[in-house]
Amino acid sequence: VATDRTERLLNLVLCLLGARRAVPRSALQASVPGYADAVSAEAFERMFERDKDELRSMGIPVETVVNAAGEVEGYLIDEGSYALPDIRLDASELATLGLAARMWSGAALGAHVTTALRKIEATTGASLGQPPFLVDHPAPGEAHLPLLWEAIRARHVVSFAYRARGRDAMETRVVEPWATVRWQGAWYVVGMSRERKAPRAFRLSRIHGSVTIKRDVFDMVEHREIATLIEQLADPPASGSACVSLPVDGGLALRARARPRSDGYWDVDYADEDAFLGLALEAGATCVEPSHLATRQAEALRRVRDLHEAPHA
Amino acid sequence: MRETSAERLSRLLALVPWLEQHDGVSISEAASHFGVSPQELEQDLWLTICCGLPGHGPDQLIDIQFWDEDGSIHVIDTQSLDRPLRLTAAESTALLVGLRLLSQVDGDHDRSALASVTAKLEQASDRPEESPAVVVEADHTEFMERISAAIKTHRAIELEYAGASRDEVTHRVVDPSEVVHYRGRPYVLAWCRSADAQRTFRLDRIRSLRVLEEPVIPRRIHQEIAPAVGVAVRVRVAPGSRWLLETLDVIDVVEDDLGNVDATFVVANPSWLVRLVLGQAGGVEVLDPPGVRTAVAVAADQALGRLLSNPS
Repeated sequence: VATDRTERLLNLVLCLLGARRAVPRSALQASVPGYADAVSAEAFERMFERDKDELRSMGIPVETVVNAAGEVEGYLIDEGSYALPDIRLDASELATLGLAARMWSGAALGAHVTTALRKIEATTGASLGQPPFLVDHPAPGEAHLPLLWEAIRARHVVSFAYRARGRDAMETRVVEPWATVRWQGAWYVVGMSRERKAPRAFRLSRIHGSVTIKRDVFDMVEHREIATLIEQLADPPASGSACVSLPVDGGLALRARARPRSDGYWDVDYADEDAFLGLALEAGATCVEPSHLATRQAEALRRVRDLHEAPHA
Repeated sequence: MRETSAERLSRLLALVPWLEQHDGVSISEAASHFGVSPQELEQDLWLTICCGLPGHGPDQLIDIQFWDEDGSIHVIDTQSLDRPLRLTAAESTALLVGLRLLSQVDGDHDRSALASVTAKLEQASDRPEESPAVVVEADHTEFMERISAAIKTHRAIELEYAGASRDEVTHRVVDPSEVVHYRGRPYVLAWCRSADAQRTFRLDRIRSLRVLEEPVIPRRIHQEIAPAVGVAVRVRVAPGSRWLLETLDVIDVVEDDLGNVDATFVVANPSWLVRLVLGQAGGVEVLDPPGVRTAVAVAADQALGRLLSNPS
């Protein structure tokens, strides 16, 4: 009977974690149950490589020990880097941690939150219970966060299918992820877009399917650059200015950003022309200048009118 | 979905030190704590006691007793597994962001405990300088605090509110009941005296706020976002406008091969929907009811008339 893979992995962890010196491959092959099942030396090598990668991907610090001649002596897990340090929490801190766990919906991050609490309980002896996840509607895209956080920490490039706002086509994006940001109720990942060769923010809810972690590693940028990028996301620099007429009432969102002129019109700066046009259409505002914006607005209105003129079949 | 070896191993590595700290816990308690069935937990224990240090002699195996009649579990020897594995990036970040979000919500949780537990968790996290940068915007903290204070002292509040459905600023006196989070945004549930009905106010739409001396009138408030009452509207949404649907409670969602989505949702105020459809510049089409469909065509035509009569 072949040894269960989980059992083999657990024995491998115990063997490396208890070791005072690097354990050579030959010793692992001889003493970890399951490796004896390997039909050839090559099969053992493949099995061991896969197991080692698996443990590392779980965050288990498997070290490769190399001798002065550059040859691999063996492997070990340093207990200090493996173990969760003691976290001493008083009753009120524990209660707070339990509440924090409930800020997530069970669907998106429940498993990660549960295992985190179990680990903390195992160092403190406390009991936090199973968090009753009170948030039943996860924020859109929240489910992508755990993978992105792992990728950010490991400095791994990610790729995903993405549908940009206002675009009908779905495109594959390859991104060096720097940070995740929650802004106005939505989650974003910011990072270097490999296609655009420039920093970009991607709204997680527009990611289609799942995020893939690639093998390539990237260099993390300075924290300062990330902060600047996020500021721009919140308050992008103006790229143009329009003169509009606003309806007597309504048009709140636009009015809040507009400067009144002496002739009764309003000047509005905008960062993104498409977004501005949408806002103007929604507000019932009329673009006077620049003329290409007025033309685009007229096209949009004709499109909406034509789409709705005939009864729906 | 079948569990992977890594997922099961993660649980086992947490289980052994946890059981050691919680001596005498029952199989069913431990199972519910780890979110598995008692049968699965028992299988975990059987697997664990077959593992140990090289040699696998009786003294080298993990020793756990779990065959008492009362189902209690006692750890005799953990071998080297007496400490849990450090937190993964996803685990520590999920808790840290949870703490951050908690600091922004109303409630009588201990604010100093919040700060200290955050600091301790950051310290225990793997290489904090490499932890994923997470930024969470401050969700209208100022209003949040004043509303919480009003709720605690049972005071009515006066709001200047920029409602979405009518695109205008209204003044109302409301009796606040609770701050809730819904789809990632904070809302206050309240009884609106002007409308004489329960209303939900989005915090980011509140323009100004005054806590009144006047006490609230006790009323029964539903502890959830009130379901929308109004017209059921069916729309067809082009792929580029699909993000709109995220924030709506849609039903009967049908997607075609091109990525267009048909969906139905309830609209309290059709004029809000007309503006939304105009703003999407053709990305959203109202299919039903015919009255709303016509209203969109008329609104577009009128706006076009205004645009073409401009002097430019």
